[in-house]
Amino acid sequence: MTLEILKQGAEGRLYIGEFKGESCLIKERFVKKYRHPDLDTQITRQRMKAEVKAAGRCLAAGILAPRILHSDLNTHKLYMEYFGKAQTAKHFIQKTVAESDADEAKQLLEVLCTRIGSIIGKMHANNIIHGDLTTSNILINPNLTDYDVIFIDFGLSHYNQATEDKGVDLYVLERALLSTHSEQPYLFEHILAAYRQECGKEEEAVLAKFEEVRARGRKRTMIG
Amino acid sequence: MMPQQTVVSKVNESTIRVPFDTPEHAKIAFRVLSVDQEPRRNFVQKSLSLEDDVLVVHFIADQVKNLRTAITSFFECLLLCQDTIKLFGEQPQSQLNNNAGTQSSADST
Amino acid sequence: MVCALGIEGSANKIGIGIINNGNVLANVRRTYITPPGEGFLPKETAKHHREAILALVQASLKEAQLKPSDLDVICYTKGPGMAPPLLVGAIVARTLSLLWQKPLLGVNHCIGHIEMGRLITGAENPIVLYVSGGNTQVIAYSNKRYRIFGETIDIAVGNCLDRFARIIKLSNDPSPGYNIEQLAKQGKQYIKLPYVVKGMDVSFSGILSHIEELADPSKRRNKRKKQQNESEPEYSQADLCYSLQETIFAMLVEITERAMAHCDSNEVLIVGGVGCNERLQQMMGIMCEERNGKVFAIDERYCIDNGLMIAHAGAEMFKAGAEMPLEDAFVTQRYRTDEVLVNWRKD
Repeated sequence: MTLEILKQGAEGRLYIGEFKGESCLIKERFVKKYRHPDLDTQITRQRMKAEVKAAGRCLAAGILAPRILHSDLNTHKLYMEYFGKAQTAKHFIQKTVAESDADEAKQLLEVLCTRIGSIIGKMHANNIIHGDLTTSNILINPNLTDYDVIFIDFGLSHYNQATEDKGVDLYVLERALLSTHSEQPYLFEHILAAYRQECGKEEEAVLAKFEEVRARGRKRTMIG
Repeated sequence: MMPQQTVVSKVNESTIRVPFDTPEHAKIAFRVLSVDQEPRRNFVQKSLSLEDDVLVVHFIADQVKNLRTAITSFFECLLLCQDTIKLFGEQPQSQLNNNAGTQSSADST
Repeated sequence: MVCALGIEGSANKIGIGIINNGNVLANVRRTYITPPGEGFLPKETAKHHREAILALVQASLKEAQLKPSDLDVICYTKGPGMAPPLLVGAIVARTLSLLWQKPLLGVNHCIGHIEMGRLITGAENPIVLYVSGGNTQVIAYSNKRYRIFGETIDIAVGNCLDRFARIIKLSNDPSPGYNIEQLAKQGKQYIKLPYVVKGMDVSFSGILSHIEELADPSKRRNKRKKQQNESEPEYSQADLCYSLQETIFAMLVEITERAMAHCDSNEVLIVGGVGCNERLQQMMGIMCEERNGKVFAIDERYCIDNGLMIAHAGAEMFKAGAEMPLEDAFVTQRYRTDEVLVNWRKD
């Protein structure tokens, strides 16, 4: 069977394929020759397992994520649900800004950010740490009336209730937004506001930790 | 009655007068050394002024220790600035003649 | 045509460079080398720089065969870095600017590295991995700024390497990182170390404390373990160096690859002192090959802190019309890469 290469992502190659007659996305974490074989094997297995587990946990918690159909550790391939009509949040934001006038774009993006923030809050309330929150890892999938927001790429995810991990997760997202969407500096505040509604009883502690991680970044000396 | 502790409110001050070869050089040093502010934590006030070819620096500090630290740092910068002027600046005419004089007399011996 | 003199002294190197319209005319440098096991402290480093800087300015003019009147602008490193050594460069730059009546420009150290790398390699719009003793950043240009996509959330990669070199008492001559690189070549056994990537960010402090315990079991915090293991360390220094490099460089290559995918770019430029490590360059090269990309790297003359990069970045700023009044010619320990408006780039 020849596979159509869709894209080479950060972690592996993506193909369109089939599993038991169902069209699906295949993510192949090919061997990265730049790193030591032991390290490569360890990382690949860890990430594949993390991805399967997190997808299951998300679905159980009522959070949209690609269903994992099959995982093959020997060939480093993950077979998962494919959202053919979806685009990344990154493209969605860039397109919205380019095609709408400023106020309209802001309104549309605020809606999106509120939805993104609620979902991340829900993930954290369930102790799911995504580990790689960027707008490339969030899909906008059109449905009949509107669109669904689907989180993908759970390779760096883990299950942890520590406020530190949740704080770092937010920090990584904030930095990704500032660098990728620097002309829309308002995105993160809307995400955070919605996040606080959903992230559970540890809201204050997580926010305090987030501030602490941020402060560490600012205070870091930069010598040399 | 307790003995009066005048030490507590004592103000530590120091004034340094630095002569230069020319008013121009003094002005350069004045401008170069006026840029840097004292670190806030030091509680030292530093003010620079010019009197013709003399650079006048006045320090006020709450503690002797801080005063000395500030003066030491200032001297490091001052010396570096002076050395730079000496090496790369145009020397005043009188000094050039003097040097030339010393040079020739040294040659003749 | 712009002829610029640049002064760099933000860490333990003091360097002067002269560039004329993109042509390198002089690039001289001295390094403050401390005894094995010791890092460089701000005051002592500043003293070293004060004693070396004027002779270096003379040497650079001689090498470039220029008179001060041939220069168009004097540039110095405004930050980030250690304040006392930075100040040495700033004082001399201000004095020369007034003596020679030439405009003065303060340059961001990180921007200096990036622009130097672009000039030497010809890379037009690469993802930049900036790795040094004080910085670890993955940078991409967009909309007139160098934006930071990934960075360390604790210590810099070079700091991690330097501190490990100090723990095992490697020489600081010519640099601790260079000696780790050489010793790592004899390493055979790969020791598993923590591997910490968070999105496009990395963390090194956990790795450092872990490998510190491996190198010196007496440092172990867990006393019970210590009693069981009072004997010699189980691993050779070469194995430790090898494993440390393999682990932290794999992390750096991974976050660079993440940034490439995120920004749809297929070029990488490595700059900063750690960037002349050949193993890092090699690993980055393999990663790029796997995605039909290209890696640009530069050698120690331009990679390690130098005055030329300050001269070059300053010349670019000067051409774009930048001006700096003398009152603003101070130094600053913290100065983020994305604070600078990159108005000299046309894209």
